[in-house]
Amino acid sequence: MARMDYKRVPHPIVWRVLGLAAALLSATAADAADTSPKQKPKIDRVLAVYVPQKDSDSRLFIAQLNNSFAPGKALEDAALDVSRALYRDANLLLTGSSTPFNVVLSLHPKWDTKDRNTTLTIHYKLLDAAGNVLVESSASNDMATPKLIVNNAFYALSLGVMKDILRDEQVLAKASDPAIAGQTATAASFDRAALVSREKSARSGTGFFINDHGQIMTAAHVVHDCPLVQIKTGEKTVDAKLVAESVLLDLAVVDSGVAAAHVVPLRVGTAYELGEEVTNIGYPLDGLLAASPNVTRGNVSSRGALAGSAGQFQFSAPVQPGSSGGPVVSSTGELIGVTVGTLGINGLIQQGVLPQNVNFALDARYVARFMDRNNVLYLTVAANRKPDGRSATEITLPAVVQLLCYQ
Amino acid sequence: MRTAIAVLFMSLLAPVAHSQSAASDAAPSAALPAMRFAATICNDEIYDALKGNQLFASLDKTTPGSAILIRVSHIYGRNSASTASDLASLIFAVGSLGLLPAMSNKDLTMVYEVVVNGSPVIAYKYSKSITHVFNIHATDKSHGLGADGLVWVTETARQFAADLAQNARFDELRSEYHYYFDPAAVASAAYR
Repeated sequence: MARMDYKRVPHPIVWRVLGLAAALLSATAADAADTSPKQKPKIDRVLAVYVPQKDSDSRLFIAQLNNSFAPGKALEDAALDVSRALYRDANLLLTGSSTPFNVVLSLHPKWDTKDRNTTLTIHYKLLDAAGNVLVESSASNDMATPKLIVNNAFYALSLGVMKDILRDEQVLAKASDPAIAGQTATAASFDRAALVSREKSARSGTGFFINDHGQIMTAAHVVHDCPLVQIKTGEKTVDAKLVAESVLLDLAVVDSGVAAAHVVPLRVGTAYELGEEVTNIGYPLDGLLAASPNVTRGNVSSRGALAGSAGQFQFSAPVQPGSSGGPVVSSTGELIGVTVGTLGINGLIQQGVLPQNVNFALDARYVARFMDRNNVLYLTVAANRKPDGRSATEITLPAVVQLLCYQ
Repeated sequence: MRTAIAVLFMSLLAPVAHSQSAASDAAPSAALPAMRFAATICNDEIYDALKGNQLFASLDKTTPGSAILIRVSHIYGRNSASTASDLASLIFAVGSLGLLPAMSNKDLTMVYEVVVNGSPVIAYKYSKSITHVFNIHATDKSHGLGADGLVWVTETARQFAADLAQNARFDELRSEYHYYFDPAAVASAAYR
């Protein structure tokens, strides 16, 4: 009887599993072993690290793994870990923080996934406490995308780039310069506008003058966590400062420092009527549409908004991203609401529902209470159902501006 | 069996933790406004633990318009040794066709955030190293945390309620909410 010979050749999948296991073990061992620059004395400075809020809060949920990832948080952790190994101390530059610092590192990350590789590129600036830019450059690193499923892959990738940045000879030399040793600042005293990337606005919105001192009402989510807010009227652009903000109401007032010739008055005396005709003015889709105001018309379609909301009503005049903060006015130009949102349709489309023109405005009653609480001057006008010949657009348009948020 | 042990643990620990919670002693008038709830892990367990606290009586999963969101997320932290031992354990378990149990060890961080109109304003983090021994053929109802891990996650919900009740920023938020939305105040200011 012939004996059948055969070779024991492992199936290719076995090699792949063993390869992945080896990669995991080597990656984790390397991660554990290499966390500090060793031996060198620390730089006797306190470093503040700035990461734009839009990048810090970025989240990624991978359903197959039932896990959420926070690349921004991973970057912050990596930046602090490397910084604390090199500097006397390092902290995140947070609004309202009273911790003094000598130098600031501003980080602008960009995550780019192409084919099977994910690249992290960070544009960075090192500034002294007076806001002078000492070093400005970029650094990047990449990782095979499938490895992102490994715990802390975002941290590992960030760690590599942060080591390149913070160990850069020019950065080390400038941060160690004795000339900046005595300079200190805090989050409150430091002009954070110097940290932002002016290449492209992080978001845009709409606002309108509420008094002749140049104060502008908008939605809080347009200007929240924006170190630099700019007001754009026609070809003219001016920097604005935050005066008051309520994240709860989604309202904010900024000061343009420019006297206003036209303001939008709040209606007093009576509430809006269900079905009342309204006009909405805004600057939507910045960068896509021409920089010209959009005027849309509709009516008050409901006294209520989404289930669980408070202080909002529903209107049908079309709005787009960038319309937030725009005025919702009556046919005679009286403010009856401020645009704060629209119904998100992604989830509804998956259920076979396509909602149309379901938009939300904050009732002017709450706008008035907000301004009373923050001692902001505003103009009021009694409800007038008889137009004086001018349209709502003619009355309101000159008082409406575009707002740009830079982080 | 493990489920039974978990239930026993929860029944023993829950009343103790509840009595320690400062939030549960709050006056009814201090009840929080309507809030949405979302969690990436142990959704029902955390929701039930929070709802058991008087402060969170108005917590709801189905109010998309609420300005305030309680967002719970979880992060598995770096633990170099555990990655290697988990892998070795899994290889042994698979190699024995499931006769040997597998083991996993994770540094788990639970993040509780109060998010107002999309902006996180308050955050608490609770961390623990979680060890879970399991059979690869058995159905796991503990979200991969094991019975002890599930009990700990539920405890973090109670701890969060207690911490939030003492938080000055949240107290400001609650005052602001009542300033704007207290029915009497709104009526007096309405289109005066």
